[in-house]
Amino acid sequence: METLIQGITSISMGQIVMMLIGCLLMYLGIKKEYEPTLLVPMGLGTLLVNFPGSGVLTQVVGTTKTEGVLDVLFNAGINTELFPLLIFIGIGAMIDFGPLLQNPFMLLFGAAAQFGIFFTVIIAVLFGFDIKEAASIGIIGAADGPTAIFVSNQLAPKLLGAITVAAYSYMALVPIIQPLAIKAVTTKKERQIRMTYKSENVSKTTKIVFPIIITVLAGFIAPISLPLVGFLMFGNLLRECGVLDRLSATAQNELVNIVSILLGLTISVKMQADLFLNVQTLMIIAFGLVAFIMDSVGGVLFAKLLNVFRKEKINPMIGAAGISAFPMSSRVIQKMASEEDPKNFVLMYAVGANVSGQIASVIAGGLLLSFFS
Amino acid sequence: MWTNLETAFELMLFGMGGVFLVLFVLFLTAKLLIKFLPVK
Repeated sequence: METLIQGITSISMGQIVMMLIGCLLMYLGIKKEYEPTLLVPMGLGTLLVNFPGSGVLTQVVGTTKTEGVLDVLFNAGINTELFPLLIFIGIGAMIDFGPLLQNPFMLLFGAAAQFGIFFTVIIAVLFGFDIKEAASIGIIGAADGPTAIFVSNQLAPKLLGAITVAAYSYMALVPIIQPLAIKAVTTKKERQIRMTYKSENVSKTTKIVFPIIITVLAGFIAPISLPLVGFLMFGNLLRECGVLDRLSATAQNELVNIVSILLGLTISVKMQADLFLNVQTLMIIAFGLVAFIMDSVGGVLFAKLLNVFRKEKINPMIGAAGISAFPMSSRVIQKMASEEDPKNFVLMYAVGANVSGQIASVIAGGLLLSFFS
Repeated sequence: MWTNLETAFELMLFGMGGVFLVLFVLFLTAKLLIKFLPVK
């Protein structure tokens, strides 16, 4: 009898709180549809790892050590960086560089909107985090889950759980965060700026060569970023080469789906009460918000700076679309433009900047790693 | 903390400089590709 009720009597308050957090993650994923692909498996995983003596984690019973399945998956898929990298192949296969290549100038907005990453590093240091932990917190501003997992697992593995929760939660909240940040740094008149759509014709050969050139460039400038950039561009090459449609479809669907199931469950190893429930977690969640806000602000201010020198003005909201959250950010920008002026159509420019953000976030992650290598 | 703060500013310079450099090179590359590999 005592054995049967041992689970209830030995549970700690922290574990109960974590179980409630797990339920909240599942609620946000299922009811609010906030990044359900990650939050639902992660929510249930949080329940699984917080039962006293849970069999999903490695246990030592007497003198026998029993490997827990989630620990096995964590060592195989996260410690080795395998899961985020496999997801990158799928993401690469989903990216269409077409809108970006039609307006290559949009590439610069992807760079400007990474400002939140580096700004947040400074803030985190001011609040007492060491530089590697601060860099891991800053990478939440990449607005790119797999990059955040990849970088933080190398620089500050103990913060991985909180960083993942913050990164995916704020990505889902882009439609709320971005309008507030953009309105704080633009006037109504600026948001009403119309942009005449001009585009270059892009050949199939250009689309094939472009990911190869990005890989070569990343290889020379930040070789440590090659796992990130190389896998992303490999996925894109599958899509664009025209002879591997079957593999491209598999990467976009089956591969991403299977790895997402495992990634969400496995990350929850870091959602154990003793690892997650502390002041640092609250600070990480707050700094993640700072990173997202400052990304948008950086992009907008860069566009405003360019407008000082340009005859044909850019709608500064385009700058905020340079984050990696695709296609949500470009949709938000178009919606805001339409609200200010129903005939203003900036979507294609915003999509170009948004695609650029997908490249820039990976480059920024690679540069962070190369800085510490 | 001051050493960390100094490193954080260095990281800001290195990171933003690096991202802009890479994306500017990609911008030039994209322009060249569009010019030399036109749609037939």
